[in-house]
Amino acid sequence: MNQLNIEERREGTFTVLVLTGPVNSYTFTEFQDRVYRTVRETDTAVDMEHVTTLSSAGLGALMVALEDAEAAGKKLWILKPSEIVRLAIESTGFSDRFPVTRTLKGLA
Amino acid sequence: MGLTVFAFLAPPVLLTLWIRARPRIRGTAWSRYFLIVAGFFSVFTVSMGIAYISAQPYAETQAVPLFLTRLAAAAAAAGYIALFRVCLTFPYDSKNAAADLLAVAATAAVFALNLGTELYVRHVERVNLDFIRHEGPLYGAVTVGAAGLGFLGAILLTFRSFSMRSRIYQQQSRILALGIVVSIVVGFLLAIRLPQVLRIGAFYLLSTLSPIILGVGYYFAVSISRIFAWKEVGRRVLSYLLLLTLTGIPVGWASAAILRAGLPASSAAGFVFLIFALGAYLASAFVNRFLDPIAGRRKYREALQDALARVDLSGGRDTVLRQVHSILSEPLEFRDLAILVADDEGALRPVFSTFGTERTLPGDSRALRELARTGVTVLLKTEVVANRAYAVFKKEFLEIFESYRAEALIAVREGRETLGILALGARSSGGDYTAYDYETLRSIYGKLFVVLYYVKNIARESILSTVDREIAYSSQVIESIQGNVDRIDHPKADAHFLARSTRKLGGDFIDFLRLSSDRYFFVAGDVSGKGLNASMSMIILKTMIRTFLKEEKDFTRIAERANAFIKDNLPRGTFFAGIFGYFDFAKDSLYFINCGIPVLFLYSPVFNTIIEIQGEGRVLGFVRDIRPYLKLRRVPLASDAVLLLSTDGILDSENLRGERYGKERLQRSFSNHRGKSARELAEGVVADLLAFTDDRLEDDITVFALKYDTQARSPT
Repeated sequence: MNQLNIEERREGTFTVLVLTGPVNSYTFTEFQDRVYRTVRETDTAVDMEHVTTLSSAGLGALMVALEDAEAAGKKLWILKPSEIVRLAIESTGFSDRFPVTRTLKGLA
Repeated sequence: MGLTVFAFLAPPVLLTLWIRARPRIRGTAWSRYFLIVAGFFSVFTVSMGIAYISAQPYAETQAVPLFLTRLAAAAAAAGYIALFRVCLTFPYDSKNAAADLLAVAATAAVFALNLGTELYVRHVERVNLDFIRHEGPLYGAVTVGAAGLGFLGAILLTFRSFSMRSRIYQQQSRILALGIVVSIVVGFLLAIRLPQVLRIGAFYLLSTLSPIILGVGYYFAVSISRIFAWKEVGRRVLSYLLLLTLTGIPVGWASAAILRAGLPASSAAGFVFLIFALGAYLASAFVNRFLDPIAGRRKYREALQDALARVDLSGGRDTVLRQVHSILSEPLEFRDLAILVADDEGALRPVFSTFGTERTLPGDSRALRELARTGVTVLLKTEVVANRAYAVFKKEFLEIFESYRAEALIAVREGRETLGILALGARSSGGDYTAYDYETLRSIYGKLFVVLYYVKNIARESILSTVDREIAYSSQVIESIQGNVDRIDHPKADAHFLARSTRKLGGDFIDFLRLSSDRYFFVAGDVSGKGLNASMSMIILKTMIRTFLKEEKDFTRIAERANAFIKDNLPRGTFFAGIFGYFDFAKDSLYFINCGIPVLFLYSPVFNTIIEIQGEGRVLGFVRDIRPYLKLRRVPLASDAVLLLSTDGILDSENLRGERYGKERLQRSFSNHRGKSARELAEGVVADLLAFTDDRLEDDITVFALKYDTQARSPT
């Protein structure tokens, strides 16, 4: 699959962006636009269970989204990251800065 | 008696101020007069201090304290005469022999009158802490006349300032005049009023502080070459006076009430401390909420930085330049802007101008060379006018300012070469650029560098018009980077690197710089992002790292500054995953900082095995303060040791079945080829990868191999 599909749903106080497919040089702009807009408005969770690739551009977008969420006083969680996402996050050396969770229960 | 210490403070303070001011006024009359004024007032304070200490009560003859008292008064009067002389021609460095002669004659007369007669003081003595002078008939005339001369000079200078064309000269003159007046007033209050009001004669010695005030005024008058925003200064002073009134008085009143309540000392101290803490907290909150008078200005700086960070570089040269003009001109309140960019020969040609100038500036002009030599990036016209450091090149600088209707220049350099100039026109408000504007311009230098670098490298604007041309351009960028490195050439090392780029777009780079015959700096890694932006970020970062390397002695600082540069100047979300290192072949060592390089293998002949040595690393550009995370490591290089470094492109490559290449395959490949030359090793590793992926590359890859021999190899 070369396309990134982004679905949106509500779960408690969170807006959940469900990503399916690769977040790479070709698709990260769509993810970036969507997540930047969302984190400024609501608490957000990015479900990355079905992300097949997370390129440096996608990681960069995630970093900025974290900063924006913090600046806006909102929460941003990475929900159920796939192995590839987990490795990408670990590669930055700043895993502790990426809030990762398996469930949103109790986080609202 | 302890207050006599103040009498001896003035000489070192005045001397320090003169030394600090000297580089800006060297060779001018103001340097000589500074020294003369400082000298006279130092004699004044020291003589007064010693006279006070040595005076005795009721002694009939007190030759030493009497002489010193007279000397102090003569020196103070001579100081004011010198100041008056300064006020006649300041800030112009013009000669006035008649005024000089008159000043010398008046000084001689004052010394003769004070030291040679009893007209000033007839006798001195000290009773307990009170220093008593038995005044002569001209005591009042000497005292009032000296101070009056200072006042007169200050008034004269203030009036003269209104007829000065240059605002910086006006400001300098008024600062000096203010310094003189404040110093006289403070001297009067401390020497006469305070002892009278408090009935403590020893406070008289505090008046020796007034020359320090004068010295500070003189220092700022001759040193400052940027315009103050007087309104802001005034607003801040008023704000803090208000703050003092609203919080200081209640705190003082409450503290006094507690101290009078008769509580035990420890309890009273505790309560007073709590009240002060509460007062400080409330004051701080009050300042943040209501009183920060420059909040609006601070917002302008931050807003400017944000706006520049959002400049869309993909919009084409003219669009980018128009954006820059629009972003800068509104907050800085100017209309005219000329942007010059270096051409292939280094000449600076206008690529944007609001007034249609086509004047080219030679890249090797003396003025630009001087700016490069001194490392100045932002230059205000007021600085050139008022700062003697620019005296030698003043004419050339002023010509540049005139040619481009500029009041401020920003010189953007790549190393020593001037990449471009932004010439900012006069402010529409009629005012000069202030010290705040200057600091703001310095704070956005990095962002302007990014813009000008982009403009210079895409001067042929049409390149951006299609994706194919973008690729072509990126290809040029990457090739220029790979071509411009100091390849390791050392008898102990056989080194080779390979870099492949997918679609010739990407952010991988590797750079080597020869520091000495035995030392090579290198940096390798991947700048995040895609396409042209990643390529641009990569080449800009490479350039900046080379600049940092020239400026920094501390290896860790280079990585620290690269982090700050990425965070502050490259597009948001950009980060660098790589390694900073240097080989010291004389010490058979590799030093490195892992900034997110995924793998650095070392084949150790001692253990006959391959080990990962990169350790833990953090990418640059994510957090603002990276220093706590930077760890400098040292690896001893033994004979037959082999190093292999790779960016993430190789590890993350996948085959058609979606399997990741990973570290284990890379390590096996390394093991298979490690006996070959460095070139064959690097090529073998890449060939194995391409075999795995069926010749497909999804990401840039960079591989560096080095085979080591502590015994120098014979050149073959």
